[in-house]
Order: sequence, then C-alpha cells, then structure tokens
Amino acid sequence: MKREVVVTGLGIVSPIEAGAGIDIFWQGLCNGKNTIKPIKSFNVNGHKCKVGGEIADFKRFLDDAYFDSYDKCTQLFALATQQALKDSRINYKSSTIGIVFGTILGGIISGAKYMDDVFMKAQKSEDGTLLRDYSLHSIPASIAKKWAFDGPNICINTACAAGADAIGQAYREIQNGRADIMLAGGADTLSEFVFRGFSALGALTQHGMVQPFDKNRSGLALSEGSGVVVLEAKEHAIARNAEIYCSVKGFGSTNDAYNIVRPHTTGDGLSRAIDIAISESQISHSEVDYISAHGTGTIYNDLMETRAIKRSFGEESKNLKISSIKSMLGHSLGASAVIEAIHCVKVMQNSIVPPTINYLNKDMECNLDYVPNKALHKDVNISMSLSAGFGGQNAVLVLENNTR
Amino acid sequence: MDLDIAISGVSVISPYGEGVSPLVKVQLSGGPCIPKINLDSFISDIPAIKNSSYELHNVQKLLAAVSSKAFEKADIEVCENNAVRISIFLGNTYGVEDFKMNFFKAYKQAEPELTSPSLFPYTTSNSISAWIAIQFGIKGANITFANGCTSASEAILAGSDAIVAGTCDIALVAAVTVLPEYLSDEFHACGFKNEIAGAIVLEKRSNVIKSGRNIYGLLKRISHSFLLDSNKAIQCEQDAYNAVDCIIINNGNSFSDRQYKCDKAIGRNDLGICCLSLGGLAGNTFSAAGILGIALSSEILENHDLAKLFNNQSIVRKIRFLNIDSYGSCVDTIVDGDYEE
Repeated sequence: MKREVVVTGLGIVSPIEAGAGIDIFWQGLCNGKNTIKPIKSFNVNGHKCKVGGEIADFKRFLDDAYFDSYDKCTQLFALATQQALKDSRINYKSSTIGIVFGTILGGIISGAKYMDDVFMKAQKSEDGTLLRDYSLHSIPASIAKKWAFDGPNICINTACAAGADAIGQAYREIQNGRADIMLAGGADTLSEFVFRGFSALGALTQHGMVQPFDKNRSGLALSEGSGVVVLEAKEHAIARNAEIYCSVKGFGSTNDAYNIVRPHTTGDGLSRAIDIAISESQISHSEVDYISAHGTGTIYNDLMETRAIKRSFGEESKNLKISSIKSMLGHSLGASAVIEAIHCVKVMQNSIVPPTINYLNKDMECNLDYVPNKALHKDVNISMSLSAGFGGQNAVLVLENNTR
Repeated sequence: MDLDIAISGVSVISPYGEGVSPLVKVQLSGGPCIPKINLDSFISDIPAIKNSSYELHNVQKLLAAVSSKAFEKADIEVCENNAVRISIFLGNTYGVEDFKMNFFKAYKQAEPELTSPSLFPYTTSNSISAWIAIQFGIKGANITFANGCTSASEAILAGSDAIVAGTCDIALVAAVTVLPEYLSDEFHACGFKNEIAGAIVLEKRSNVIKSGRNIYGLLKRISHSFLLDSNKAIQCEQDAYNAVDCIIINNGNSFSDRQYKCDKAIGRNDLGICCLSLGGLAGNTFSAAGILGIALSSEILENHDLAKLFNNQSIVRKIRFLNIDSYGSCVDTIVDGDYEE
C-alpha cells in the first residue's frame, strides 16, 4: 500500500517579492504584476533581447551570515528552504529530513568566474569557493550541513522540468516508505552564460515582454529564483498536527526522444506524462479544474503544450482554465516548476486563478482558455502543473486540495 | 524497503577492456595507467555512433556503447512496442564540462549575433541522457543525477523505485566519468584521469525469469542518507546490511577514507567480513562508481574463482556495496546472488 503524500510547507524567492514572503508573491500574481525589466547584472549590448527577471537584495531575509560566501544559487535555495521550514513548523532538529534538488546550471556564476580565470586570464583561480559552488550537488549538500539534515540528499537535472522531477522523486521517497519528510526544491540564476546560450538559440523574447500563447509571441525571458515545498507522509503530518495544504496525487515523467532542443511537434511526450499523472491520481481527466502551463512564450513550446492538452483532454480541454505565470515571472529554469507548484497550492487555497498577462492576439491553434490578462475567481479542487524542457523532458504533477 | 529487482544486463568499459575484472587485475598488479579508452573495438556496430552526422564527444560514444551492450546482454531490443515502458536514469556530474568550457570560450570570443547555437544545449548534464533517448528511441522517464560519487547509485535507486511504482518495466541505468584535466588537477584526484563508462538494465525479477533470460544479480535493498560528520562511523544496525559475505566500499575521497580506513584493496572488517575497496581495485571512478560497484558485485557473484580470490576460498552469495560522496551523500545497496523465486 503506497503512502499518501501531503504538502505542509512552502518557501519561495522570485522576482515578484525578492524573498519578502509568499503573501506578497501571491498578491503580485493575482494583480498580474510584470517583473520583466532591463537586465542590470551583466552587459546585454548587441542582443535583441535585453530583459529578464532579476532578484536583488534578497540576502537581507536570510536569518544569518552562514551563506554569505556562497554562490547566488545556493543563497536563493537557502532562503526558500528557510521559509519552507518556518512555514511547516517542523522540528527539524529531531526529524530525519531529505532533500531532492533540481537545477540546470546551479552555481554557474561561480563556474563562469572560474573559467574566466583559467581560460581568459590564463591564471590559476585563487578563489577556492568557486569550484565548490560550481558542483551542482554542493548546493543541496550545503543546505543539509547548515540545517543538519541527514536524510537522502539528491541533485537532479532534467532541464526545465527539474523542479517538477525533484518533487516527483521526493514524492516517491515518501510513497515508498523510505522517508517521512522530504524537501523538494529547485533553484537557478540569471547569468550571462545562460543568457548567451538562450540568445544564441533565438529563444528569447524580441518584444521586451513574455506573451505565452499569444499569436505574436516571440520567446521567453530568463529569470531566477528558488522554490521549496515540504512533502510529508500524511500520517506523519497528522500526528504532529501540521497544517496540510494539499496532497500530491500523481506524477508523470516522460521523454520525447525527438530533438535535443525542440519539443515533439505533436505534444505526444507531454500528453503521455499528463495521462500517467492522471492515471496515478486515480481521477478522470474531467476532474482537473486548472492547469498551470509551462507556457514559456516560445512559438514551439506553447503550440506543443496546447496540442498535448488537447490530445489528453479531448473536448474537455475547452472547459479547462489554463494560465502561465511565466508571463509575469519569466523562466527561472530549474526553479520554475517548483514555483509553479507553489502557485497551484495558492490557487486551490484562495479560489483565484492568476492570469496570463500580455495576451493581446488570439492564435488560431493556441485557442484554449488561457485566463487572459485578468485573474479569475474559481474553486479549484484539482490542479495540474506542466513542465517541459530541452532534451524532450516532460514532467507533470497533480495536486489535490483536501483541506475543504 | 525490500526490493526484488533483477539486473538483466550489465556492461562496463574501461581502458583495460570490457568488464570490471580486467581493470581490477591491472590495478592489483600495479600495471601501467591508461587514461583513455580505445573505442575502436567497441563501436563498429553501434548505429547511434555509426550514423551520426557530426563528430560525437567521447561521453556520447561511451554511453551509447555501454547502453547498447547492456541491452544486448539483457536480450532487449528497443522498439515501438516497449519504448514508452523503458526509462533512463543517468549518473553524470562532470560529463559535459568540455561543452561548457567550449561554449564559454565561444561566447567570450564572439559577438552576440555570431555565437553558435550548437554547443549550449549540451552544457546541461541531462543533455547526454536525452541524446541517448533520441538515439535508442526510449520514451519513458529520463532523469539525470548529478550527485558526485553517488550519482549512479542514486540513479539505480530511482530506477528500482520506478519499476516498483509501475511507471516503467525496464530501467536503463548508465554513468560515465570523463573529467577534463583542468578539473582533475583542481580536485587533486589522479583517479579521475581514467575514462570509464557503465550501464546496467533493471527489471522485475519475475519478468526476467518468465522470459528465460539471464540474471546478473538481484538488488534486494537500497537505502540512502547524508553523513553530517565525517568522523562518525556509519551506523550499520540493520541486520540485512551485515548479513553479507562481502562488502565493497567506494573509497577514494577523503570523506569515505575517514569512514573506512581501507588502506588495502582487499581486507577484512571487525566482523571478519571480506572488505573490498573500490578505489583500491578500480581507481576513483566518480560518477560511474555506482555502476562499477554493482558490476563488480555481479562479476564476483558469477565468477567463483574471482570470489575465492577475494574471499579466502569461500563462495560469495550476498554483497553489500557502500558508496559515499565527498560531500556526504551515501547509498547502501545489497546485491544478492540467489536468483530463484
């Protein structure tokens, strides 16, 4: 018998609230706040896209100076972890807690500094912290050391689906009885390295804003951040009288096996992930009330995603409410799926669906209800979060509001 | 949690040939260190490599080669019918460093409009397992673990869990260690200079037995944790983890060296159990260590002469493989040689 898994804590650092707390984050989403602005932290001259979602001044919210010498990615993850622990009211000193961390390039800001020393300046790097922070697995390990977590410590990379797969792997840990409490999170930074990569691929917005599912969408805006959810065995959460936000009902993860950059044109891979997650949840497609779309604002993703939803939900897809908060936050890579899962929890708690902003022109094929420009009041009992990434990665989470 | 997962295919390639034994024999005899794998003898018949329209990186060639050979051993052909029921779990921490380095140099030296788009997609560690999925047409889950020395062990655990959860029937677990010299020097670890790649195929034991195929070992139990204090010994209170004939420890980093003072490749612990140091027998195999430990276990279980060499003339039936990363993550696995249902 598989154990039920519930969410009992949330932590977030996004360009909306810059670590100031989840209530500000949620208010920003409901108000359709656009955080995409000109990039300041590195030179973007010569690029068609000059915008992104940067986070400054978040370190003041960290409880102490422990992470001062660490890379920004570790600091973002540390702040989201700190918030999630406080929110869950877990006595972490007397609990065995594990971590599954999803990221794409982790401490690449430190890595690029190291490479700059070695390859451009042809000198041995003097800063010993750069390589420490560059290793992806150093990030969850640093968090475990700070809070003395002696449970499993796992770092995964599944491109832009990394956050969803992190939640999925942590969910399996608890479901299979290997752990009672797991932190599942993701983090990534907006660095010149990543920006140059996406720019070279022509994937960045040309219009200074992100327009998911819009006919004239031109690409994504990169951003940064971190999200952490506390997952717990339901009986464990009940025993300690924890506030339960929702249940994780199902998880599906697939690969397109099609192209290293582009998603499968038919949406077959994402559609299979949707169907696996629904089947595991033991619900029908018609019970899904809301979909938090991957919705990057690129031509290929948004079309593929719409086709995947239509493929899985058939006629039901016309009744679904779908929105993309990347229209407000940009794409925070490994963090995005966790931030979007947290957003789903707030949707179910508050019966409000935040909008897809910057939606101006209807696309002939992307013709579902994307909750354009204005938040919507709606009771949501079951929400689904979709993620997709380079390499044909797809991951889908089903969350159920069991607090009513 | 008790598992019942069969290893139905296994392949390891090192500079000394196929399998772990050739590598072990060279290490024990103090033979010459060969850093690079000569791929010519392995790749002639592998479509993913033969048909590529551009020059592949060694990481891609090595993984394609071991994956192909592991499937061959398991007598599995990936096709339309089973593609969605096969998942890939890859251990890969520093396997894309050359792509990162080359992309970094390229964008530093080129104007924005002139930066090539071809390198960047391969700078993320999942790109290699995604590439394998495309080459073999594998459409199940595809998860890359970047966990240092425990990368492949975590991948094995996740693959086993996916089979138990019913989300796949077959898990291809693979890993590769090809570390660029500039990082190898920084980490003061000469063992990283050896290329090594490995893959295993995992399935439910009953499925393998039903189809009359070979089993190369059973995964009976896997647990994982994080060691906060490098000087505090791992608590092995669970009977299952001590009721074994042999323990393989992946040492070679300072953390595990402090945990197990294995200064010999072959020794005995306080309980009189045969202890093998993977670091002493095969060098520091880093991301691939998880596969190496399981492949070595499989060879010891299969090859009684090898078992007797290690275990004082006694046959080995059950092995514990303990893998520890220098940051503190730890995976403990029991491999059983009793395959009967």
